[in-house]
Amino acid sequence: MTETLEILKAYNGTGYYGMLFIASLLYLYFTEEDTHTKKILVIVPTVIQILFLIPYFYMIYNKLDEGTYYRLLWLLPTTLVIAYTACKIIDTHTRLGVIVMAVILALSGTIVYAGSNVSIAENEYNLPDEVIELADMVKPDEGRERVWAAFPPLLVHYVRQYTTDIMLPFGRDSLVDHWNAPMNPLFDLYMEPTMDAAKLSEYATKYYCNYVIVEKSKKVIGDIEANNFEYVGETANYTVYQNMLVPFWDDTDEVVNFYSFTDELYGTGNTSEE
Amino acid sequence: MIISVLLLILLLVVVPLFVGLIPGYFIRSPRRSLPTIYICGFLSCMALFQIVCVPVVLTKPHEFSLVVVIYSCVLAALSIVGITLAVVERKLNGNRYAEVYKLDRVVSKDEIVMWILAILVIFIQMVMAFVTQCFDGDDAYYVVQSLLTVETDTMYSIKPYTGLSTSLDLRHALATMPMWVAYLSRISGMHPTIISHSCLGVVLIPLLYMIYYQCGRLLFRKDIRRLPIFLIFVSILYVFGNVSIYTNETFMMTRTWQGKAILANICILAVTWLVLEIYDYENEGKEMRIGYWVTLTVTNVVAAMCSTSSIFLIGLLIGIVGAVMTVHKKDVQVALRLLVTCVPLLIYAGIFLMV
Repeated sequence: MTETLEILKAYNGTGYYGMLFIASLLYLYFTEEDTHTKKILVIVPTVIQILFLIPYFYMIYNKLDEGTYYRLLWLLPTTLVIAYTACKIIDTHTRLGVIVMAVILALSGTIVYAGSNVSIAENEYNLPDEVIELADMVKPDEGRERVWAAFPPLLVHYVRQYTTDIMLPFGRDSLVDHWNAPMNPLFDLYMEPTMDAAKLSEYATKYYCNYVIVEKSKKVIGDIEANNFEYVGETANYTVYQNMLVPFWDDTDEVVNFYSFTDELYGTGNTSEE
Repeated sequence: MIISVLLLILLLVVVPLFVGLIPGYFIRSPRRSLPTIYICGFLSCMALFQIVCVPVVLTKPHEFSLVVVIYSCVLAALSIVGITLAVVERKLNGNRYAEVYKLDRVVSKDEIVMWILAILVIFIQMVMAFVTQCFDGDDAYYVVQSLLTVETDTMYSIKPYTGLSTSLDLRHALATMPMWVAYLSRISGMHPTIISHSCLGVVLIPLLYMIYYQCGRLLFRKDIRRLPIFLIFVSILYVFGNVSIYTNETFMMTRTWQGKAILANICILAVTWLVLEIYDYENEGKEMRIGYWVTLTVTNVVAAMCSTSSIFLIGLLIGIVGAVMTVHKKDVQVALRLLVTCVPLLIYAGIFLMV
């Protein structure tokens, strides 16, 4: 019961919509005249809430889909019921009622556009301009094969939404702890507060990275350009280097197994070509 | 760019209206309004995509072009059927759609102001969906999956995070929403990321409010003047619904293009609207409810297209509605009829367990 209550509490977060919903259900229970509407908008949500709180039900659900129990609360017609009840309460006092109720509803929640992950779009892709700038520097020219590039972990979510011609030695899966992505020393190096230039060269070469992108604010031990990298360009916060030890996909006649490192990354069986 | 936008309007507005004329034929006027046709059509188009795409994903995951050809043919054929049905019915019975919009009452100034306000707040949400960007880590999977499909013609065979090849990812493969975005991209020529982040919100937000409008028409039939006020309150609850990262309102406003957001908002709300219609006393015992039954089944297919977890969620919702209504009506047939609409969910659950 404690776990389900915790999930319910987290779902309702900083607002009062959970309480308004319960109050609305009670109001409709006593005032709604249409029996069918009452069954669908009051009784069904009540049954869902009771089920939600049953620990055995939680255990069964978790076996089917762990970590998404909050989605059961999506089945509650919260918005529909609160808005319907609000309209019934204001009755014929339209002007004043609408204003008062609108203020109550607004103050009970949190505006979505003020969220920390919401901002004005910088371009039509709705991706950070800087990521597009960086991707344009490293993406293969027309008619060329794809390239491997190591991007700082903060940017890996965005790069391949712009172009899949850039392949990454580590992606979002490395960032999420409980997904158990295989060990990746290059990722670990990027996560450290300081970066050893010699190690960057070693790992970037091992992972066949044609390019590495390094944060300007990152403290680097040693000189990156003295470790087989060539400066390509920079943006406000990042510098792009080309790894001179790794040939481009279609620039080499040598039989190079570009996927050899995938055994280390993902175990055997994932080494076939795309 | 203009041609791409026009093609998207064709696929997301015009074709759903034509296809919606088929289920609309079986819905009695005056319930058969333009929003009803559009909602039924939009859901039908999405469900058809799921029906076409899943078998190809399972048998030929490297032939997305096949999906494009088959689905385009199906849409064209059903659009023609829809138009034909509407023309035939018009010849037989006259224009039934005009009846819906006949005003047989005096509209007050207050009501006009409320309607203007309601439309304005919905329009603002559409504009905000276009001009704002929301960071969501899941896009690294879903949006990239669409882009990979457009660029490589393969489905669920490449790891979106890195670009490495992988075996068929069945958990995600049965929910073909990213492939639908890839289809829109392939036909329109627009980048899938632009479609996801900038275009879909402009279409899905009005669709959501059309379903609320339908619910409101039922709930306020005795005093329809409250309908715009209801829509204003719904809008406020959505705009201020960001009380946590888990709510369906947050999903709708910050990751509109993802299957999970469509499931949490459009599919679940559509189920509530459809059961309200099916069990509405004015529709009792009337043959013309069949359009709602068909749309409920179609909605279940769309839910499966949005997320594999919908198999359980929607099944549970319909199961509880069935149990409550069976007890209320003391008729076990109620539950059995609702169970039939869940057959698509059972089929997808079976595929998931077998493959």
